[in-house]
Amino acid sequence: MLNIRMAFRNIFRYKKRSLITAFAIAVGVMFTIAIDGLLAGSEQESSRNIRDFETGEAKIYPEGYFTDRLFLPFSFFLEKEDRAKIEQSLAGYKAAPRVELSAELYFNEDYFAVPGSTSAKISCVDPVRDGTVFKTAYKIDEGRWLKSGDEGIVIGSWLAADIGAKTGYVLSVECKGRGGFYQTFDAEIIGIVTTEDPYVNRASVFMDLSRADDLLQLGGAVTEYTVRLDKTPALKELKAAMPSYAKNIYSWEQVAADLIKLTKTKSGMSKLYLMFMFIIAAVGISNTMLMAVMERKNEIGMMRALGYSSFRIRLLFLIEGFGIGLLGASAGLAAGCVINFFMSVYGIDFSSLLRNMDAGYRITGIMRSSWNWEGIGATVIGSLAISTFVAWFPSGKILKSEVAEILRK
Amino acid sequence: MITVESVRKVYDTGLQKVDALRGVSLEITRGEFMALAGPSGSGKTTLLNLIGCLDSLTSGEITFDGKRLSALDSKQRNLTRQGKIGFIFQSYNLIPVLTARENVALALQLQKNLADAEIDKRVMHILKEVGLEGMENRRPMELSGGQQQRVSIARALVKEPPLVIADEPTANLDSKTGEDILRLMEGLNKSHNTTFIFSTHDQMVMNYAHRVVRLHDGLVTSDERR
Repeated sequence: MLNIRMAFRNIFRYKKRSLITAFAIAVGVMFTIAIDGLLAGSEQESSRNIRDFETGEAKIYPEGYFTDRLFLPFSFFLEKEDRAKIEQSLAGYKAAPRVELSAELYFNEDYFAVPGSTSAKISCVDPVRDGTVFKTAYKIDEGRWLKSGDEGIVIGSWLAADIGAKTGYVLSVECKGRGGFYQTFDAEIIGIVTTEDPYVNRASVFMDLSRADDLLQLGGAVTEYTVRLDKTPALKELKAAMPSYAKNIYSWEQVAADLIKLTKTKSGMSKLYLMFMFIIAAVGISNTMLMAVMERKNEIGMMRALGYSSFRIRLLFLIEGFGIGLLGASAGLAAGCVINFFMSVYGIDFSSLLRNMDAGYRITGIMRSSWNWEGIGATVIGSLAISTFVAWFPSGKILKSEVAEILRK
Repeated sequence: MITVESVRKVYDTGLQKVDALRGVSLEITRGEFMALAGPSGSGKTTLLNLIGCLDSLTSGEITFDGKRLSALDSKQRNLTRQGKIGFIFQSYNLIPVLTARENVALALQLQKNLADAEIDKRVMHILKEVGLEGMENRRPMELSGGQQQRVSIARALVKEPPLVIADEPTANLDSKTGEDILRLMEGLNKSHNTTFIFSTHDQMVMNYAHRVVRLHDGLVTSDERR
């Protein structure tokens, strides 16, 4: 007990030095908690938005589609007769068919101040069933959502803003029909959606599936089914329920694998920066302990003369390092939690940044933190471990010397 | 109790080799109150360090209670210091963050099977014996030089070692306080039958010693018993 008491009192023997070192640790812990919370919150929200607006929990693709899915291939289909059986198997599930394709949108002088063209992704949807799987239908900003048989289209709000479109304006859509023929048709903008998913806002166009079937000569075929599931085991059940020719079922993580990988890479990079911060704090502690060792040579020599082993003396420095770490980690934990609380309630508005660039997150504006307790625990324990660990080394050299030499130095 | 036989100690600084002791031989019996005298660089501190297991010798042998010190490894020398030798330093070497009581108790922390209450009892007893009753909760900064040295003496004696080694124990004190400290050490030497070996180049200190061994350039030049 006396040794522990002595180690803790030594922390406050050089108050300024200890507090500066503890401050460095506190800053490291605080930023780690705050940034980790923000990254975790962004990841959570991003994955939620991917599921709500792009992938659902699972997708059923035609054979061969998955590999090229990012290019929206228009040569793989779930045919009309197969769909009937798939629909049967999907009874009880929230599922919606879609045809997804790329298109060129032309906007001319009749409606637009500056004519031109832009690329977009067209999602041909069942207006009613799509709303059971995706939230897009409930995010209408202007105008209305699609109805069955509609000839108009709904477009993303950022796309609308970029080309200067409003409801009632007409766009010319050029795309390939089934079999490779080119189809061009005019479509009135009947609605503009603003979702939490920047990809939908930036480059998405929605039209009625039945009209697309006519225009693109789909013959009742679709390119995918999206299914909403409540829990992961349901995916296995779904796979088991599907007919043999519709076994190409992919979880949302598989469908959005590239996005998830990008997000994880970003998180990894951020953690790398934080690791550097901890290294700086570790160097600070090491330096503090080294100074303490140099200043206390006589005391170390005296303790060795009393019969204290090198290990017991080192233990004192370890306790001291741990104490400084505890001081810093506690302050950092408190500050990090306060920041995280405000960040989880109010967040940071990145809308102007996210509007103009693809940051990899499917988030449109305010990035909010979440409570990553596992991460917080790891940060606190990690900072304590580092501050204790680095305190081991500074006393090493001096303790290898003969006691007389320590006292002579 | 202690036999020093033809002890040599060479310090290798890397640039040159310094012969600190060049063949010293001595016999020290239990209960002696002995001074190692000599000018600076004569080898007093080196000899004390070797006897106190604080350093290793180059050649020769020191036998302490029948044990050859050159045969002891680091752990065994540690144990010898822990159980059999008390140290008093010129600059006291007290821990500033601990009170007088805690500084003395530090010497007993390593004693196994000693309960906290027993440690406290022994600490209070020795502090009373060195005249620090009522000052036990003061930190070194709140004590005078003489009082700090008394704490240091108490720390050396609390574990009741057969041998106490003191390196210039009065060098940092004024002559009156120095004499007080010597009288205290002499009294403790008698009451505890503890062997005291201390180094000095001060004639007043030598006057208190019952035996004075003079060293010069690493050799014993005289051995005078009184």
